[in-house]
Parts: sequence; structure tokens; C-alpha cells
Amino acid sequence: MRINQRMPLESIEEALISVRDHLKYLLESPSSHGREALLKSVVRRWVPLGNGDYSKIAAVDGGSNSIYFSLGEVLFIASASLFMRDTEPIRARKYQIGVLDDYYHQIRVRYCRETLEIKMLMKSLELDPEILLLDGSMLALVDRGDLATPYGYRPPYPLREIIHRVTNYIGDLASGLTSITHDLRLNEEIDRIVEDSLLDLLGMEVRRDEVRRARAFVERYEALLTLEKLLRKVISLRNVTLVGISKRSSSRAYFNERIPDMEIVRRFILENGFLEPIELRLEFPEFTGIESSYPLTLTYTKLEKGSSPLRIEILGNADIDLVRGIISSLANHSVRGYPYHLRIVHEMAKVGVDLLKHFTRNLMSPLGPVGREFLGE
Amino acid sequence: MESNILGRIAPNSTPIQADMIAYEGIVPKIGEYVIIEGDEGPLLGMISNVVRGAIELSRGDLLQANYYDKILDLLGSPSDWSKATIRIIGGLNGDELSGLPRSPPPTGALVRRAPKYLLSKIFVPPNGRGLRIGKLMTREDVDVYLDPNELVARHLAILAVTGGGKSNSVAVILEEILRMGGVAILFDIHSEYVGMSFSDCEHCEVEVIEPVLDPNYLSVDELASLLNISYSSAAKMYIYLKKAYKMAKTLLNKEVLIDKIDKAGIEAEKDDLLAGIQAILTLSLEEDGEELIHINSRDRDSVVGLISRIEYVRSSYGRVLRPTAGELADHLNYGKLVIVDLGQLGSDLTDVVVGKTLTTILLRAKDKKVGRGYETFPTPVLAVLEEAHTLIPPGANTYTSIAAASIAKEGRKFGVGLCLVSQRPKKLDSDVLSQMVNKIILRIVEPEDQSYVRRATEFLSEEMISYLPSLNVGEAVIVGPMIRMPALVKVRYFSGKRGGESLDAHRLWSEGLHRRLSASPDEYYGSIGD
Ligand SMILES: Nc1ncnc2c1ncn2[C@@H]1O[C@H](COP(=O)(O)OP(=O)(O)O)[C@@H](O)[C@H]1O
Ligand SMILES: [Mg+2]
Repeated sequence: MRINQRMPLESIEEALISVRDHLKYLLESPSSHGREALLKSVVRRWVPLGNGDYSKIAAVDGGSNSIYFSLGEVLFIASASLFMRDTEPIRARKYQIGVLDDYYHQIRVRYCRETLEIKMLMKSLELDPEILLLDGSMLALVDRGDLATPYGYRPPYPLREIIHRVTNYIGDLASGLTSITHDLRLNEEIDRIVEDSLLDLLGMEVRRDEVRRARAFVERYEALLTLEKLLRKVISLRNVTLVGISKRSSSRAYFNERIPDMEIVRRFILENGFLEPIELRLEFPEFTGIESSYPLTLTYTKLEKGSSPLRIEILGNADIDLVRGIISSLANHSVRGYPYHLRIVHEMAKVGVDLLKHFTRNLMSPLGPVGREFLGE
Repeated sequence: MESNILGRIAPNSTPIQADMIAYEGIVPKIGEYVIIEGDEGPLLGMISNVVRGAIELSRGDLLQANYYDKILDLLGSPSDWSKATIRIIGGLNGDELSGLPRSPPPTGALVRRAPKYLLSKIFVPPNGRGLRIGKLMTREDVDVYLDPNELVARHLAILAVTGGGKSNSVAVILEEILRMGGVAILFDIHSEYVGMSFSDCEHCEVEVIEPVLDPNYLSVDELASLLNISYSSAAKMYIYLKKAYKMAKTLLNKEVLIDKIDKAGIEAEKDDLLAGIQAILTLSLEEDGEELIHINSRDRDSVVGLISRIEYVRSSYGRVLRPTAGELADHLNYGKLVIVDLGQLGSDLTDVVVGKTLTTILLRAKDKKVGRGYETFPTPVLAVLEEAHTLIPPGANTYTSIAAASIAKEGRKFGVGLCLVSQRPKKLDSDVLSQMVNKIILRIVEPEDQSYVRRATEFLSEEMISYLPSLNVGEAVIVGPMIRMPALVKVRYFSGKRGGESLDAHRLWSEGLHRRLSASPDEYYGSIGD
């Protein structure tokens, strides 16, 4: 036997065939018995759409991307965009460009983008929208489970102290349109504050990546603080409804089944409509020191017959008529089952990798992006 | 932004073609001439196709217009984009057009509309003297001139559906030629030019001639064709015709043909060759007559048939067959158009008249050139033939096609140009058509006609062909050496009088109705009673 033949050289087909039956089982459940009951319960709770009377709908989305800029450093661009149709189409967009150490950079870019989006939502209130659309889930913004902080749910030292020192130095984190904790001009100063705090808290020098970790948390804090401010403001305004729309969600909060709620709606419902809404509560994690909590209304919808389901969160306690009015208004402006407002802001906010490459290659360093060339990218 | 800037070159350009992405709000037009900033100086090109879209409506899944409604409802108007295909014509050396570049224009190169002065310069013949045919279709500020030298030397075909504007183009070209003092003859098959006159041209003269064919000048084959006889179809008749023809010529030269005509009791003028042939055959047939030619008794029926054909032709074409009338070519002169009104003739006779006249013109021009007489015969001359497909069908040996073929081949040397006009290009002999190197092609709808024309035309691209069905009346693709480069041209409207324009049924009916209604009942019933 040749050596080669003693070594495994598997094809992807072989690998798939070996697990095919089990995969099929997973996709087919719930079992036919449970399935019947579930189907009934979904259909019973499915509510038809009505007329939607809201037309002043504003939508906000963000985008971001990053590229290696030197070994160990990335350049990132984050953006937030706004669209509302009043008598004229109104558009707004804000970019933030920065450089980060590559430790935790992906999550940190994400925090920056979220901060931009939330600040843009805040800004959009000046346009007096009736409905304010946010791309994604408010709940997910706040409650990230294990990803809540770079340390998981239980940070090993009192982060609040660090936040306190940073805010003392900067002032109001929730103001403006860009992320203050990502501001290039404040970069070294914030690093220094975080490092000093850690030194004081732990009584010893900390590793560089540890400083980055704490810094990332400070950046996340800015997003949460701004979000809290937004929610409070929206609740107080009364004539605007904040609605979060997700295309993907693995939440099981509605049916409490093994498969996600959204998948259940996708499989069992064809017609447009929405599920009877349920109430949830949005609470900021304890370690942030933000003590407010807000009521949320949750439902799933199909805006067009046969379209993909959407998860809908509405800030506050919304009764079924209000929910119907909102969702029906969204359906009036939906293209292939998705509110077109969100599509517009998505396109506006996109940060393509081509743009970053162009940026680094032509506008920035004569060295260009690093590392990727070995991969032929 | 400068108003003449259109866009920039997109990737994947070649030395002959390039795509251009247009600036926002600019929709390029097909046929537009453009200047591209090439690496080695500017390039001239023409837009051959334009694709347009809207960024927000470009998704493949918007399969119902309702989605468009929703999107437009929010956006007001979508973000238009346009992409044009540019065919590169050549490099520009100052104002001079040179050959195709050897490298493609660079991606991102700026594209502008070609300036008027440049195009105007390109569409004038090198010596500055040209026939003003019209304007560029996409640039109404640029006049297009044809080179008369190349027109006469390389001939011309004018092709289009009926009503496409062929006759108008003919009128414009003739007008321009006459203004220059040129010489032209027009074979007017349907009598549509008989009212033609040119305004503001003192020396311009038009003579309309009903065709006169002198039988005495016809060859025996021409006569046979007139009588609808050929050696292959009616060998005996043909043989006796040939004998009688020879005899009649001999007698005519001795000036005794009239005696035979009288003797046979035929009413005719003195030197009527055809009447003489009839007399010779009649006398030879008589039992006791003098046997001028020998007739086999078995062939008597054929000869009787031949005589009756001669009688028929003489009586029905009497007006046209005038002995010793001279030749149509005698009427040609400088600054003059001879219109041969063929409207009343059958096709056999038309073929003989046209074929004979074309041959005569070529022979005289030849003689003049080689110094064998006809020193004053006016050349160069342009002969225009309407409805050319009826006289020059594919593969046939009609008189006209033989004559046309010789002019196509030799006319250039002697200054005889031919212009063929037809609405059925594919019914035109392809050899002759391809020798009409210049072409004015107006609207042509039928695909078969289009591909036939394409095969017979060296400068015509597939893309030019694709414009043909959508052209409006008077809009033409002009190709050939008489124009500096192929172009889409709006032929100007003939300013003089032409006669024979399409009939206006609505106007004629409403005028007639008005006359009927305004007449008093008495007049009306009176006129019916007549
Ligand atoms: N260049 C032109 N501009 C405006 N009208 C035109 C033009 N050419 C032709 N026409 C009009 O179109 C009609 C048909 O034109 P004509 O030349 O007789 O067509 P064809 O000879 O191809 O049948 C005429 O009534 C003529 O007035
Ligand atoms: Mg005509």
C-alpha cells in the first residue's frame, strides 16, 4: 500500500453523506405530533394586516469595515445613515475613520458603528418622524449574553471606576454624531486614563491587551449610555414610535421551542400578517450602572405573502391596534417583504472593502495594506 | 461641469470599441460623435449603443411594477445611469482624421461631444466643394457634403422602403449637381418627377422627354427583345427577323426601302426600318410576290406570327418608336437635367429604352475620351434609375443590366456615373449593387433586405444596419468614398418642386366633400343627371 492510501483524503461529499440522516432529522423536527400543535398555535395567533396610516417613517442603519493597515494595526471606517421621505426625500450620513490595535478590533469597530447609529437615531428625532426604524434588535444591543463585555458577564474588576474617570475627562459621552471614545485625537489620552485606572485598581502594571480590553468596554459603554438616552427621549415624546427590525434572529422568547421563533414563522405561515404581540422588558446589564429598564413589545411579521419573516420590536407597551397600524404602514412601503427605507439606508451606509483598499492604497501610506497580498487578495 | 463632457471610458476598451460611463444626468445619444482623450492624442468615435438603468431599480427581484411604485414613492426619482458603447473611428491629428489607434483608450479617459468645427470640417470633401445633402442626425448644427468626384466615379445606390425618402434624396442630389453645372439624366419609371423644377438657379434647366426610340438605330437583338422574341424561345421567328433586318438595312442604304413598304401597302414614313421589315416579310410570304428572303413552306406560320408581332408593336408603341428621332443622349447638356418619362411604357420597352440610352451614353463618353468624335458630349454625367430592381433583377440579362454592368465597370474612366434607386434591394442584382460603392440607405424594415444590403456594402457595419428599421423619413445611413466616414444623416428636404409626392387622401377627400356640400342641390343633381 502506498503511503498516500493510508492517509485519509476525504471529499466533502463523503463527509456530508455520513451526517446526512442526522441533519435531516434536525431539520424535520419538531416531531410530527408536536408539529401539529405548534402549527395550530401559530395560525391561531396570526393576525391579518390592516390599513397603515403612517407615512413619516425615518430609518437609520450603519456600516463598517476594516483593513490591516500595518502589522498589528487596522484602519476602520464606520458609518451611519438616515433616510426619511417628507415632502422631499431627506438623507443624512456620518462617517468615522480610525485606527485600532488589532486586539479585539472587530468588536471595537462594531461598538463604534453602534454608537454612530444610535446618535443618528437621536438626531433623526429633529425631523419629527412618526415611526423611527432601527436596523436590528434593541434587546440584542443591550443584552449580548456572553459577549456583554470582553470579559463575559462578570468583569473581574469594577469597570465603573474606569468609566467614571473617562467621563470626568471627556464630559457627556452621549452627545454629537460620532463616537467620542473612538476619536483619533483623544486616542492616547484615553489609553493613558484606562492604563492608570487599571494600575490603581489592580496595583500592578497590566499587559497591553488588557488595556485594550478595558478600553473596549469603555467604548461599549458609550453606545449603551447613548441608547439609554435615546429610549428615554422617545418614551417622553409620545408621538414617535421606535421600531427595531431584524432579518435574522435566533431568539426563542416567543414560542419557547427548540427551533427559533423566526424559523417557526418562516415554515408555518405563508400569508402576510403578524403574530399577536407579547410584552418583554429591556434591562441594562447591572455592571453598566445604568439602572433604567423599558417595556418592549415583540412580534414577528411577514409583510408580503411568501416573504421572509421579520422580527419586530416596538419600544413601549403597544396594543394590537397600534402594532397593526405600524406593521401595515411598513407593508405599504415594503419591497420583497422588507421596508424599503431600511434598504435605502443600508445602501447608503455600506462601507465596501474596495473603498478601504482604495483608501489605503491611494490616499494613505505608500506601503499599502499588509499581509493580504500573500493570499492574492 | 463643461456642458460638452459626457463621461469617462470604462474598463475593457479595445482599439476599435470602448464603453463609456456617463456622468449623472447625461443620457448619450446614438450616433453622437465624441472625442476621447487617448494616450497619444484625441480619438474620434461615434456612440453606437446606449444602455440605461436606475441604480435603485436594478435588482433582479423587482418583478412587479408595484415595487417600482413603492420605491419611486419614497425616492421621487431614481438615480439614473447610462453606459454607451463607442465605436472608435480614428485618431485626430489636429483637425485631420487618421487611422485607428494601435492601443485602446485608457480607462477613465474623458469623453466629450465632438465640437462643431471639427465635424463640419470632416464632412466637407477635401477640395471644399461638395453636394450639400443634409445634416448629421445627432448634430443638426453640422452640414454634411458628398464628394461629387467619388459619387460619379464609384456610383451610388439609394435604398429604402417606399416612402422612406429615396426620391427626395434623388432630387436633392440632382439639384446640387445642376447648381454646379453638372449633367444628369433621370429615368422616371412612374412619372413622379415630371413637375420638377429648381428654385433660385438661373442656369438650371429641366427637360422632360417622352422616350423616343429610333427603330433604325436598334440592333437586331434589341428589336427581338422589343418583339419579345429570343433565339432560345422562338428560334424560327428570330432567324427570319434577322434575315429581314439585314435585307431592310441594305434596302434602306440604297434608299429603296420605301418602295417595298408602299408595295406591301403598309402605312409608314419613308425610312421606317420596322415597317420595312414588315414589308419584306409580307412580300416574301405572298405566293406570287417577289421572294426577298426565302421562306420555307414549313415556316410560314412562324413568319405570320412574326409579322403580327411587328404590327402589334408598331401600333401600340407608335408614339415611342419614332424613326429618325435621334437619341435621348443628344439632349444632355451642362447645368441640365433630362427626365425620361417612362410612365406610359411597358416593361419590355422600358428595358430597351433605358438599356439603349445607357449604352449610348457610355459609348459616346468613351469616344470622347479616346478622341473618336463626340468632342462636345457633356461629361461627367450622372444617370439615375428609379425602380432599378425591375430592370436589373438578379442574374437576368436584360438590356439595362448589361448596360449598367458596363457602366459600373468602366464608367469611372469615362466620367459616367450611375445611381440606382430601389425599394426592393434583394431583388436587385447583387453584382451590380455591390459596384454601387456609395450608398444612401434610408429606412429598411425587412431583415432579408438588410442582410442583402449588408453583404453588398463594404463599409457597412452590423451596428449601422441595426439602425435601419428605426430611421424616420429622410434619415439615412450614408456610406462610401463620397463621404469621409459612414454617418447617420438627416437628408434635407428638397426645396424645389418635385411633383409625384405621396397622395394626401384626407386632404383630397375633404376638399371634394366640401365642393359637393357647397354646390347647390340643382348643380349637384344636375351633374349626376349628365
Ligand atoms: N428629408 C425629408 N424631409 C422631410 N420630408 C421628406 C424627406 N424625404 C421625404 N420626405 C417626404 O416623405 C414622403 C415620401 O418621400 P419620397 O422621397 O417620395 O419617398 P420614396 O421615394 O422613398 O418612396 C414625401 O411626401 C416627402 O415629402
Ligand atoms: Mg420614390
